[in-house]
Amino acid sequence: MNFISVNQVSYAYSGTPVLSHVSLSVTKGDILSVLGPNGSGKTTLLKLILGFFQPDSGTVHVDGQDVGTFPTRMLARKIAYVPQVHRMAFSFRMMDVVMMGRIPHKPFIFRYSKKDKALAETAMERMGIAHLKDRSYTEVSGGERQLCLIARALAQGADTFVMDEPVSGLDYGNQVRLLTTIRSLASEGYTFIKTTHFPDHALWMSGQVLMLKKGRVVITGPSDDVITQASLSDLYHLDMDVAHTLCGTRVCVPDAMRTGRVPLQ
Amino acid sequence: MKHLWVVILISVLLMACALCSFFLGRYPAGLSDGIGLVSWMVQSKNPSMDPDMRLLENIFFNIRMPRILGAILVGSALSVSGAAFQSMFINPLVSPGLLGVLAGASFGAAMAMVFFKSFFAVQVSAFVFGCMAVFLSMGLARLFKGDRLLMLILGGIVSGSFFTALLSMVKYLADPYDQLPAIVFWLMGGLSSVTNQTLGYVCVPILTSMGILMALTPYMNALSMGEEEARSLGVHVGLIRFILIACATLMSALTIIMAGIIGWVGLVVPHMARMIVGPDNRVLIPSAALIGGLYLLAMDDLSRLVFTVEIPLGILTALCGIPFFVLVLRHARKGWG
Repeated sequence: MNFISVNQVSYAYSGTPVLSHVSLSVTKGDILSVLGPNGSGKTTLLKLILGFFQPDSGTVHVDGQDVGTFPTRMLARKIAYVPQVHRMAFSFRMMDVVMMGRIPHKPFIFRYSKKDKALAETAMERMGIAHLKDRSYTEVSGGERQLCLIARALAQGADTFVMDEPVSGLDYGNQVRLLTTIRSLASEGYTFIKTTHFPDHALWMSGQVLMLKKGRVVITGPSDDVITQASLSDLYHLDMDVAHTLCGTRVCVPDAMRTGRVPLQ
Repeated sequence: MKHLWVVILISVLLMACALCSFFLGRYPAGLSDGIGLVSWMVQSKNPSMDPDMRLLENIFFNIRMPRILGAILVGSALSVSGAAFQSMFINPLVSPGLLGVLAGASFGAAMAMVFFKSFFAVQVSAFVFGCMAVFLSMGLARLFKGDRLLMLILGGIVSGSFFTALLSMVKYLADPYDQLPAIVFWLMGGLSSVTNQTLGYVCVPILTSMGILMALTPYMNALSMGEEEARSLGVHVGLIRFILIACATLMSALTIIMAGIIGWVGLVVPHMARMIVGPDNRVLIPSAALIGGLYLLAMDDLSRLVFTVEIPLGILTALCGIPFFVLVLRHARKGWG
């Protein structure tokens, strides 16, 4: 069963085509990494899945139902958006941020109940940040903020998490920790759709990959089949090497680092 | 539950301050006179039977009471609408006048002073044009694509400037010996013309709007995470934003018909409240209401007591607000705690 399916979607922003005839499908527990150069339409694709935009043609289905027909609140129970670590204007407590995840489960006028509080605390415990619940979001580290936003998505009760370049702004250690967290959540049955600028990260996830170039799908499939010297070289217009390490994992290395030459755009 | 105690403490302070304000004033009617009047009334005698008591009744209930209640109402309405705007626009430097309500109301009042001469007409016209200015900025924002908040702010700038220009025109046309001073004085703001009757018809809509805003505080928290994030959390952003703007505008416009233009309260008080209870709107909005009431009441007491001539309240709130705001800016880097 395809939990999320995008069929032949095209979208133009002020007359400029951003996506044309994009299709993809994701099943429960998948990790889909969307790769592509800047301006290839990755973020727009995520926003169409989240229902922020309506496609000009084609359809986006979640659980077999068209995204456009979902009330905002119902969609939020199925798909959670985990934004990039951001600066916030106001220094909310971590707990207050996670509690916001309960909004789609409440009536229009509401107060958070004990149950909401308990669910938020459980979500923070799962992310290992329960000890930070009374700290302010603006004073914890970037990695802790990202965990806080994932905890909010867990509290939201959604089973699909949409992430736009989740590792941006994180140091190397936190990037690896975040990717490990994503993998372990996926093994519990959560579905992830994320964009990334790092083909290596897509390989580490060993999930599905979709390559976008100028709004079109270049290739899609399991990461080990799709991420090759040829596809990466074409996608980024660079000479790339995909090498095997001694322990068998694959790594992507740009040739330019060795040769000092970059192909002309 | 630390915050609960803060809220209780501020409420007690506010009540104490309100009670004291009854016995402060140019006319020497102090505590003993108050007790005398109350005991007279407790004996269910009509105060109008005694000329002294009639005078005291007039001072306490027709002059001081509306002024005290007016100060509390205006202060809390401005603070709540300022706090709501700040979280909605994700910008702690925003004040209730952002969408042009003050400019519109100033023009409306000035025009009524020149053309109609009745105080009731001034109030109605100030209210109508205040709301109109906000409609204009919302309409302008709808004309253009792009970031909704940015477009609203630009719409507010345009509509504010437009009505400020119209205000200048009215001032230019006004009779410089009679009408112009009245306009200028009114724009300085003050509570001296608040009557029980005015209070009677503004208090219900102000309190209702305040109640609605307090019910929507969890959404304000979500809105201050940004439009898309709020939407992904299941918030109907357009609807909530419209309700917030409508209530905040209604409240600000009603404070203007009571007290003219009182600046800085809507900007400074939310910061005071945020420093005390933090940025969570569920606590911040009620606290801002209480602190705003207390602040404006104290300012009004100062304005009528410190000098032999009453200082216009709007001038005093600006003079006291500015140094405080500079202090706040020093803490700004810490994330508007």
